[in-house]
Amino acid sequence: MTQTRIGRGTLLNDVDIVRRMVHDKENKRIVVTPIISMRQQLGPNSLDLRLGTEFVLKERSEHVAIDPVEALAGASDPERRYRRIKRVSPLDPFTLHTAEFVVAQTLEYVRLPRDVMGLLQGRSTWSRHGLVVHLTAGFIHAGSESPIVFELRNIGDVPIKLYPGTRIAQIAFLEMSSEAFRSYKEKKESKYAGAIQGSVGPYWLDSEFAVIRKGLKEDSRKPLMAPVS
Amino acid sequence: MANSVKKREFFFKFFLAEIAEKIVRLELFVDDTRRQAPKENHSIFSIYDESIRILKSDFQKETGEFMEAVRKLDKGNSHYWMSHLHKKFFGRIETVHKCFRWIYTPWAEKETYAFLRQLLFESEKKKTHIQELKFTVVFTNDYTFLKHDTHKDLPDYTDISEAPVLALPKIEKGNPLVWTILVHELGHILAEEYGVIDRILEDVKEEVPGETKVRMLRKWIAEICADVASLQLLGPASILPFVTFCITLVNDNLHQASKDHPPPYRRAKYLWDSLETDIKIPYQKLPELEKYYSLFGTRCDIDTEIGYRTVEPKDFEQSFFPSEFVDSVARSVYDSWWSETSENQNAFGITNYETAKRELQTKSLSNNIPIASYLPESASRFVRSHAEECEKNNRETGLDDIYSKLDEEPSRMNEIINAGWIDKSEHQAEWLEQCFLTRTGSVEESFGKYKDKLVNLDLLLQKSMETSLIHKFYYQKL
Repeated sequence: MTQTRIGRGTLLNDVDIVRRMVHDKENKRIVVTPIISMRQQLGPNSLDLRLGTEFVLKERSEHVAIDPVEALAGASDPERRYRRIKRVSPLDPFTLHTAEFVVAQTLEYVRLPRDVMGLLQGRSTWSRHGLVVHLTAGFIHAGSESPIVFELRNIGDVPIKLYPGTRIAQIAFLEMSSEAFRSYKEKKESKYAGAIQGSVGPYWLDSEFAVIRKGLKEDSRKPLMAPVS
Repeated sequence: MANSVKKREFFFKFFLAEIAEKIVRLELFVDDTRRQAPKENHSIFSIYDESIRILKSDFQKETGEFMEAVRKLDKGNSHYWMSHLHKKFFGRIETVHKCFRWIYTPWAEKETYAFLRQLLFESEKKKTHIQELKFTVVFTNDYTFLKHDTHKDLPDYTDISEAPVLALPKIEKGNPLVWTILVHELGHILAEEYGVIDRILEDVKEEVPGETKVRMLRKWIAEICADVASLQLLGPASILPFVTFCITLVNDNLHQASKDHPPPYRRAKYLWDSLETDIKIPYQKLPELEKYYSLFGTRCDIDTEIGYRTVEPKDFEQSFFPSEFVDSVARSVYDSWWSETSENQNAFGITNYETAKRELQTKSLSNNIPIASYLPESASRFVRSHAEECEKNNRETGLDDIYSKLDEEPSRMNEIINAGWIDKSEHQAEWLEQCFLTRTGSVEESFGKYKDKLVNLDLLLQKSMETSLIHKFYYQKL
């Protein structure tokens, strides 16, 4: 496959974001839909994203611990029984209490071409009230195509009412050094490629845990770092 | 001859695809219910699991046998195959579905109500209180769709406005394409609101001998009213599920009437005619309409080939009504409905249905992009050509105006659902081919792949509807 050098790690400014959104080649387009008000959402180097309607909560009382190795022994989705989905509307907000953690998603569906990645951040409007948007995983990989799922946590002092459709986060776009050889959805282990619904992280699918589980089943007296020969 | 065999082959592949879908939906319902059930209640699920497993295995075997026989399809054996497939699968699917009476009955999600209410809101109705109509969506154990006035069950209850329920089968809970059949049931409520039924009956009942026949005619008029109401709200998406239902679930002759319903063949004919004359979309104009028109025609042909099952005209007249009389009553119903209920005679709200918007929405759905909103390609072209100019001339205010061209327009509910039907009609044969006819995996793998495709379309449509509602809430107000 021929590698095409397009950008060199450039953060796109407002005009370039728009240029990419209307690119005449479809496979080069950044797709963010719906855009309700471009004037409101477009910043000098980012695009505001709106809050969707779905929140994923955990039923904590039955959940003792997250054990990725034990999870493999059970059902195909071991987290399902601890998960509850709440859907709200603009007139029926979601209240995020102090110290509460939920998983939410953007109203917008976002599709990135192979040579652009996204960086998700919260908005200072809300961070100043203790609303943390995304904890550690703010990378939106090249080739991703889905609504953006992110974590929300209230580390402030008072509960916050969250209304769908309001601007909750922002995404900056980075043109990579060249197109990814293998985009996110082409990577075999991609867990979220093309997902329409948000999900909690299926940690049990990471292949390391299958190795650990197998190791635990084998002779436990064998030291972990025993020489191979 | 070759064309006829090809049509039959297409017809039966459609039939098989619909069977596979029903089996998948049975399984989805059982899985969903099991997840929500406390562990103590889990033992009952084994009977459903086993029944579904056998259905799947039989289906896999049947597709193999069918593909051997497909080239020999002719007048003699088409009806055999249709009856055979119907008895072997749809009959059993309905039996399993009835058995769901022993397990949990869900409540309808907000999305189903949002879909119905938004359709009413977007239609140009002369009576604005229509948007406030009260009804409850419930689920049945029989595989059937109906509207029922619950106040008739509880005679002490007097406020009939609160009482109607619209029912659909449990397994269709999450399938927006089938929620369209509920719109016909909603049409019954609308028909009562507009008083069309009694007005038309008043005009024609002199020609009908006897009270029994008058009561029967009233029911027939009510059904035709509900059909046109649904057509008005949905456009083509009202006909395609009706045709699907007739082809697959009506085991009897489509020319056969009952005391409650006119013959399905005639109802479909009135819908196709009205689509052409009142909404100006002849079926030949659009590929998905032509496809379903052809499927329906093939089904009717298969029925009439079994001569002894066709209802003779004189029998029809004695048991029911003269055909010309039924046609004339139907025409009155349609004319009345279009003129009395809408500001715009041509309104199911989508004007220029066959234009670029429809193509763009269908293309987006095919590419797995939700279609909550729409931006014409011309807007993108405009922004492309003007953005550089503004930047060069440092015209900041110009840039703002250009950017606002990228504000999308929320999609209408009937646009979304029509795009969904188009997507299904375009891909259904391909899905059947990929999942079942190329035989590369186990039964579970084949059904798993088919399930992924169906669920993906369900979620795409639900996401589109949900997001478009939010978009409409803020549209042009920011």
